[in-house]
Amino acid sequence: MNEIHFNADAGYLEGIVRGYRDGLITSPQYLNLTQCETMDDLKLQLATTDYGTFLQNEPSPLSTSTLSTRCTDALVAEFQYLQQNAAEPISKFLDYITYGYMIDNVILLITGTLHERDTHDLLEKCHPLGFFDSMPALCVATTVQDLYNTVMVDSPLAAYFRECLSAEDLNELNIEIIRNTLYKAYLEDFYIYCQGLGEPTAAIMADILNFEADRRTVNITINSFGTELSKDDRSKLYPRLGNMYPEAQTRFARVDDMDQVKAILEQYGEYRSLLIGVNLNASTGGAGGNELSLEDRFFSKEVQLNKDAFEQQFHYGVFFSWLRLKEQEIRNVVWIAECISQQQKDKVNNYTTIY
Amino acid sequence: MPELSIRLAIATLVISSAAGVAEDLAAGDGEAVVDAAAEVAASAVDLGPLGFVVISSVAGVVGALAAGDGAMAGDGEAVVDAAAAVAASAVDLGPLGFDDDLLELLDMFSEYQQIRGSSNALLRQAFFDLSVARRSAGYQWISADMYSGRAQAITTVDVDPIADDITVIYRRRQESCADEVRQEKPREGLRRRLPISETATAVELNDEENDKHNDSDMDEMTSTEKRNSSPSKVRSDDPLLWFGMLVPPALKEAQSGFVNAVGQLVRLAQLKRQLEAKQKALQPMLEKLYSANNAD
Repeated sequence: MNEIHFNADAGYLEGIVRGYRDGLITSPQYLNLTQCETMDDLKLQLATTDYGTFLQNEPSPLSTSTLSTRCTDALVAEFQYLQQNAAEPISKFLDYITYGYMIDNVILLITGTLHERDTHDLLEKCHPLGFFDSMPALCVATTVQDLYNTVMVDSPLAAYFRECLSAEDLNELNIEIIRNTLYKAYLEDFYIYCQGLGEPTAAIMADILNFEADRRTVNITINSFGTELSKDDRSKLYPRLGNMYPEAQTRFARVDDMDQVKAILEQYGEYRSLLIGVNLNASTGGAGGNELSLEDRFFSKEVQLNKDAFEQQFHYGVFFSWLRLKEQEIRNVVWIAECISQQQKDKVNNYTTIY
Repeated sequence: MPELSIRLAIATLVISSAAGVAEDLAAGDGEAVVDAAAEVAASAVDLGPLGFVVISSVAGVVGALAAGDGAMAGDGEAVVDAAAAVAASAVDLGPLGFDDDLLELLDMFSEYQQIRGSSNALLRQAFFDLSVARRSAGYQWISADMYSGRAQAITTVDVDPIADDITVIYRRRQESCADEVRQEKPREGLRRRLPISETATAVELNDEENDKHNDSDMDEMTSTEKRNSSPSKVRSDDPLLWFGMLVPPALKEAQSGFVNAVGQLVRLAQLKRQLEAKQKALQPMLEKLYSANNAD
């Protein structure tokens, strides 16, 4: 029955987002990009893509930071068009997508205030998709309690702060804990909301969000090696969903090196295949992608899940999947730009092909 | 330079020895001539490679005397002229140790090339690791926007020029467990840096001393940041914390690469100064040698 009423509410937007999907850079276009010798060549090749209009007024030489910013502007413009033309219930789904960016902006402002950066500069650096009205007031808060009472209580993130109120002062460690705790609460809430939307949205988003939770579990584990984060605190940051919840997460909370991480991942069929040919100690792949890192494999897996979402119709997952594919595309373009500017042409092929 | 006075002294010795030979020849004392010539030859050996030229000239004079060259035997004035020519050649060929200086210049240049190559490789890899970290964590999270507004150098290299005496001082923060002040002695008026392995230790500036050096105006001071290249845990004053507690391993590798490159870059700067000074010192002799070769 969902198929009958879906087009009335979100048919137009689904058509729009499928059109956006067709505008993603293809493999032949990526080949042209990798053969560029300079950033000007790259800019010329990108002129025929969705980023052309956003790059045409940028002066030469084009920096990778500017390229990343302009590509993000293109993504924001397209997403905001969807938001402006969305009505309930699709508008709420799109709002849920923006909560992740709101969390990033909150953390960016708190961190910048802690480091005595200029507030005005920080606000300009925030992600446009995560902007909310009371955000500028974040800079006056010094403790989590102040943060919640003065600012967050009226924001969409208020419910996610419940688990963070035990932290006293805002320092580097606590800010990192707050950031991951907020995102954990957001992910769990988003999952529950998607389950309430019914099939097929629930099934498609469940696969995507479960994978996201698993990846966050692994990344938090790996990144916490050699830091002041205790193992108990580490386990509290793991999202309570995903294929690794709860058994593997209990084991991940106790590991100390990459070999132990690999031993746990090998026990899960969907991740055992990702480990084939992976150098766990490499941050990125070698020339031609023969030796990939675990992160590269996670990117590939995520792209595959998001591509599969477009194989079905009449669900909201296409909006989320398109956004993630677009972000991956921007990651690819900026990576190619970095390799060109640093004269690392042997590493330029280490991007994740989408189509 | 101190070497010049020594070189002039030895050249004077050669001249006086040759003059002594000439006097003995004029006095007709053959044995004394041989002894004096042997003494000149002995002093010429001490001159190193230059001495071979002197020896050959002296040998030419003595050989002519032994052969009973009537013109040489009876012509004291000619012997004096020959001895003077020997002494003049000893002076004209330049100060002693020219070859040594040239070899030292070439050695320094070779070291400069070697360190430059290794530092280039280190920096190239470090920038690449930084790009990998940015791709992993997000370009927003690892960028200049995350720099601290109150960043201070935790390790500096202070160059303190006093006349021709340049000293590099490493200082540590006093509250650290090992408070050590390391001072390099000058070498030929310019400082010679420690090998890279000895400099790869954590050093921190005392805040008061840091302020004192910030106020000073040293034209040749080179200040860079450097820290321990292999910390077991991230320290509270680690700039890595600007980007969050849970940073990707690639960012830690990038930091390690930049830290290791800093010591080499400072060494490069010092080598460049030494090379320029040495080249400037050798330039007159090189020009003289060049003009002498062209005249021949």
